Amino acid sequence: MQSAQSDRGWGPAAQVILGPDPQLVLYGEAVVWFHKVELFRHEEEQRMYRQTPAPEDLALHKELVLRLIEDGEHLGRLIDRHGFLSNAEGITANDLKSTVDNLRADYRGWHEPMPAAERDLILREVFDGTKPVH
Amino acid sequence: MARNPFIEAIHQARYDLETCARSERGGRQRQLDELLRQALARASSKATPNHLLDALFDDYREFKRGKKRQEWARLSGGA
Repeated sequence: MQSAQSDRGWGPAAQVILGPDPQLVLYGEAVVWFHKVELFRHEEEQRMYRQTPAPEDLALHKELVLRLIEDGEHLGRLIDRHGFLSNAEGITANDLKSTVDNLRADYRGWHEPMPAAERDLILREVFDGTKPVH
Repeated sequence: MARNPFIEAIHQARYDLETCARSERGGRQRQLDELLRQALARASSKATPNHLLDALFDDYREFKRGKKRQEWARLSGGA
């Protein structure tokens, strides 16, 4: 984590680039990001689960989930460097990273599906033939 | 074939991770990771947890759709 002492040495540059309170700024950005993820999940439910998604739905889903992953990873890197403000909601850096991981898993599932032969092999190996049925 | 309660538990943990409060995500992730680890260890599988999640994705999608259908029915007055 960068010390306040070294920030002071850089004067206005550090203030302009990092903001007067980097942790507070990051917390605000994280809250906005979580809100975007929730908005995405709501629309995903309507377009990808409530109906059969059209090719345009799949394309936009891919673009949006990739953007959320990239933004979340970027926030995670900044939080590693500056720390995360303790907050009343109790959100931690781990909660953000888990949300990014969850988005990554969904990205792979929707847009980089495992080949059927590999999938069947893993499921047979791990669950010994008791196949999931939904 | 019979439905596997272990698979159901993994799906439920994944669903809970996705739908829980922001501040519960880290804890829910640990629960999901532990279930995946147990499933792989029981079978002495060399697959990674992410591979197992990916292998289960199509089934998870149907699990989630089923959960959402129940929710939609509740919201529309039990249709």
